Amino acid sequence: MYTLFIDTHSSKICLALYDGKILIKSEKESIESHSIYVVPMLKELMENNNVSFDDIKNVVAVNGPGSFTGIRIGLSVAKAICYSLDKPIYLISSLTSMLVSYESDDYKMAVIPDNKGFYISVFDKDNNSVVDEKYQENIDEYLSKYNKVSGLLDVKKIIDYALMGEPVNVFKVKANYVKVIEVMNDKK
Amino acid sequence: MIKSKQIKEYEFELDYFIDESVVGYLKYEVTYEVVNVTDVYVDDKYRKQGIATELFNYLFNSVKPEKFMLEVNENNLGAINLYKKFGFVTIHVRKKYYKDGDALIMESKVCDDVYILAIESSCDETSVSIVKNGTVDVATTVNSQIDVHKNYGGVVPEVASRMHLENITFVLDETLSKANMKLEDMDAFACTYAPGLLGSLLVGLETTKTLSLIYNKPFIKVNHMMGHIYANNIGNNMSYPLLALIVSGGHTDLIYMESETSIEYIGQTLDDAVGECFDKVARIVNLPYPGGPNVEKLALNGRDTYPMPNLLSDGSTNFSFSGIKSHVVNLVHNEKQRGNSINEEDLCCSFQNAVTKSLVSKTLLALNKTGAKNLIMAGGVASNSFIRESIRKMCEENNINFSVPDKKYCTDNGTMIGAAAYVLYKNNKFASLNTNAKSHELLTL
Repeated sequence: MYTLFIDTHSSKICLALYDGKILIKSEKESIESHSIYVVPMLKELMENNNVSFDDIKNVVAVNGPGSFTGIRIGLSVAKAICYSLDKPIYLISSLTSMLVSYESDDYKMAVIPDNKGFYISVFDKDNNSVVDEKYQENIDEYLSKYNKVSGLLDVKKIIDYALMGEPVNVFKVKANYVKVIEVMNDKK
Repeated sequence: MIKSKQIKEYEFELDYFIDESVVGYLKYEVTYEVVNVTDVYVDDKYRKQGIATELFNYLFNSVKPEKFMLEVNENNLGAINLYKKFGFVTIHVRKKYYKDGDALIMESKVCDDVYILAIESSCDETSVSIVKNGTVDVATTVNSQIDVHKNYGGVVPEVASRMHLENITFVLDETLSKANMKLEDMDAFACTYAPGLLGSLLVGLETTKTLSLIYNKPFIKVNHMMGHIYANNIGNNMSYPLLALIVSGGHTDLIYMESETSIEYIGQTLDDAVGECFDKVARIVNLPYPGGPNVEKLALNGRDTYPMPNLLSDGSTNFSFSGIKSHVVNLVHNEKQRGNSINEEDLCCSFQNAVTKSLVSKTLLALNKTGAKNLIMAGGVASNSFIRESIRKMCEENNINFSVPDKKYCTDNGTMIGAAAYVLYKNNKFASLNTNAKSHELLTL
């Protein structure tokens, strides 16, 4: 039985199947919309490895922050699978997935830039939160205090970490946008 | 174009014409409850253009026996694949019937009912429906975000997309439980892929493609405006050739359809869509979103007292609504400057009358131009009672057969997407899993 991993928060789409030992990964730099790639990639990944939906025991999906549209594409796919096949869904933040991929003896900080600022999160060496996830326009203060992690993802570690948490009710799956959109602040 | 003729008492022939010559035909015999297809032929140079498919679809639509049968040479793989696509299965093999091989006897039991699950998420409504045979609304759920967007005076795309993602599973689940059906009971999965708000469309699109992959059933992409047109098939059957008047927040189109798979633009708006114009007028007189229905409500108690401009009376079948919009803006502004109050009910009434007059006269012009005897109306603005009744009256006076969907099928819903998807299903028009959403697209099948 496999865990299906879905990460679409950035321009690089990553899907993977993991049976607890061997990781089968499929990655693609999305040139146009993620929509063109994600479902065909999933089909190919499963077919090439003779994995059917019956062989999927749960899904781990990265729910942001990052590209709003990208996140929604991955979560739409993950929700459809988990709802229709009644499988547990585990969510993990994109910042957390960067932090748990990286071993350090010190505090470590994950940074995801977007057009106006940065999403950040800081963990200690045992992966306890030091600075909760937030959106900042200027992060110089944090950069002077903490080491930035590389951003390389270790999918095995991410899945193991996510599965230690509780599954989420599929009806209550939400994206982790972090940023509140401007219009919602100036409601009429 | 296909024409049917009777050869003998039980023998019939469907001829496929291109430029008045027959380039393909299908012959069949009717015996009791069985239709035996005796011969199918398409000229060499017209092969691989879907002519045989069209002939078969015509056959399936015109006769309703218990089963269809035919015989085919086992080496004729192209034909066998086509027959399989239509649901024919081999029930008997006649050994060495042909010089070069066996004959396969194939039959197709008349298709069971076709159930399509259809998702609509192009704007601010998340809707999932199950539609039987393109005409029966088995179950529909519509989750409208109007109450949320009212706070902003219009649809905010990012807010809409966020809500679609949160709502889609609830709406899907509710529809399945209302219908007492399972996802594995579906014959195909369909959704709107264009036109609309990209972020919103993508939620429905990715959900639908994933379901199609899981259950290994066809994925059908539907143009939203095509959905509005085929809403007229719900509980009804559209008659062709027809003229379609599409009136919505994004469109004002006159379209001629010779058959269910042909589309010809007869007229379009040169600027604003009629629904957009209603919404603008609503804003000018400070009516809340959605403006159209509120303008209609006020107009009900008003009188036609404010003079309005003539709308594009150029003899064409195109529309223009930007002029009347500016006229209303200026009128209100000038009256305010003079310190006069505006009678909002009269203003809405005068405005609605002028717009309706233009819709009626241009539609009549297009009916005369095309010679169509059937008119259908579609789109959100088709739920405006005054416009519906005015068009209906014009049709009665001109002996035109008029059809407009129930009001609940005029505004965005999954049912109409399922109705349109069924037409595509019958014509084997399936989409690939790499389909992307599009914000703009002309009407296509």
